[in-house]
Amino acid sequence: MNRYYILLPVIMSMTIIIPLFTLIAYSQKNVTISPNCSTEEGSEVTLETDGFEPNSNVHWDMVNTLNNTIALSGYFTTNSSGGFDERTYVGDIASGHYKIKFFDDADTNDQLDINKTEISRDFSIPCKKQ
Amino acid sequence: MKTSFLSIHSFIGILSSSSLSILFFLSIASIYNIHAVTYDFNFAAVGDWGCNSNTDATVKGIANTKTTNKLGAAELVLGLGDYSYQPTANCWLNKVASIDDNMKITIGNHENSAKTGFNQYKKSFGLTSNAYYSFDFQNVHFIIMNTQTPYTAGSSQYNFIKDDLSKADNNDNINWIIVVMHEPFYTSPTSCKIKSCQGIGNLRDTYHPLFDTYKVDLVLGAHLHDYQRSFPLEYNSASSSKPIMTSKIPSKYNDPKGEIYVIVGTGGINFHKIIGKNSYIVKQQGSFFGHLNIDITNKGQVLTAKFIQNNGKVFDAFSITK
Repeated sequence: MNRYYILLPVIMSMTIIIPLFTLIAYSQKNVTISPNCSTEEGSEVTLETDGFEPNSNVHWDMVNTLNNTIALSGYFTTNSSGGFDERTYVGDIASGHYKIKFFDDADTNDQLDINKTEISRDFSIPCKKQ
Repeated sequence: MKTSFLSIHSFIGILSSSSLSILFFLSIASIYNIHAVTYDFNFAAVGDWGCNSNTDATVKGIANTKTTNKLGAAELVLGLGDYSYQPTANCWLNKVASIDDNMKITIGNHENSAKTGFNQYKKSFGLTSNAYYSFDFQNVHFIIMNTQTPYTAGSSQYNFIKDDLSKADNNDNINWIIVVMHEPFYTSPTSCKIKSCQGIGNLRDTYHPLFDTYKVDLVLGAHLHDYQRSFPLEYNSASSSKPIMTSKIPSKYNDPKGEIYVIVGTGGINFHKIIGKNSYIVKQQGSFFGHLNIDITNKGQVLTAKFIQNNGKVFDAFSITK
């Protein structure tokens, strides 16, 4: 009987902690942009993400950090783990430093969904010399 | 012998009455503007496709007209330029395999050289090296221009287009003239900073007066990654970037003067941010991928166009009756 009393808090903790970790793991957004710069003529770019709302939509905006204006944008449908691996083309826009922002946008209204957060990555045109 | 004579007479009689019937029909056809159309049909148009899941959705959207459009599947698909955005055409050709049976394309700036797959597109769609051409579909004459090769007055393209327009305008079997080109004459301001994204002045000055003269109805383009549709426009020789709006009716036109210009750069690559709206534009958007579907109905006398988003919603619709 005493053994059960000892095990009870352990079992209860497990039932709380495991889903919590799962939730954190799933909500951990990841974005990889490859390459993270383009020539002035333009380049094809791969956008790889996970951790967004599964089977929904993610919007992306490429924002010029100098004047905070959007140069390019788009959206992609997420898979069952909240990610996508897609290609787009960055070109025809002004040279400079950009942030590419990604956020959940289930109804594709170009707006961040309620209670969701965005994640961004740097991008430059042209590529900086090594 | 007598019988033979009578037979010949009867034959001549039948022939005469047939000829009279044909002449009568042709007169009626001429009076009522009935052109050589046997059935209603529809076609799709879109450019700036890319090679991603939005491209797939655009292909699916075009294929879906088979069930969503009362006329059935699009019988012709027009590619408005800029396809794979890669050194080869492979990826895009695979993406459109299900809808390319009757596809005609114009060349964009992302496939205008051997380094960007031009020869593949040329071979796949039976193009010449010049890649400008024309064809008839029912009572519609399509002219596919190539904005990536010389087009100024006196060029071989200019001579071809002028001659072709003149013939189409004088052809009683043609009721509609539709021009397809990648880079447009007119656009609202966008985040696209290259010069060709501002509306090409010398292209406009060279061809818009011709389009007015030979009564072109519709000009389809892309290059800008968004959707824009104009009022009917005539060339303004005093200030060519400010065309003359011949009608301010938003969607139903009765054989208007000038042409309606539509940019359909929504195939899937991405969106340029639209940062203003020119007064000659009726509808514009840079938030949804999709395609333009055009129905030709009522014995070829009504053209109805709809921009259909990949989610099935219709963003814009207009019609022209002749």
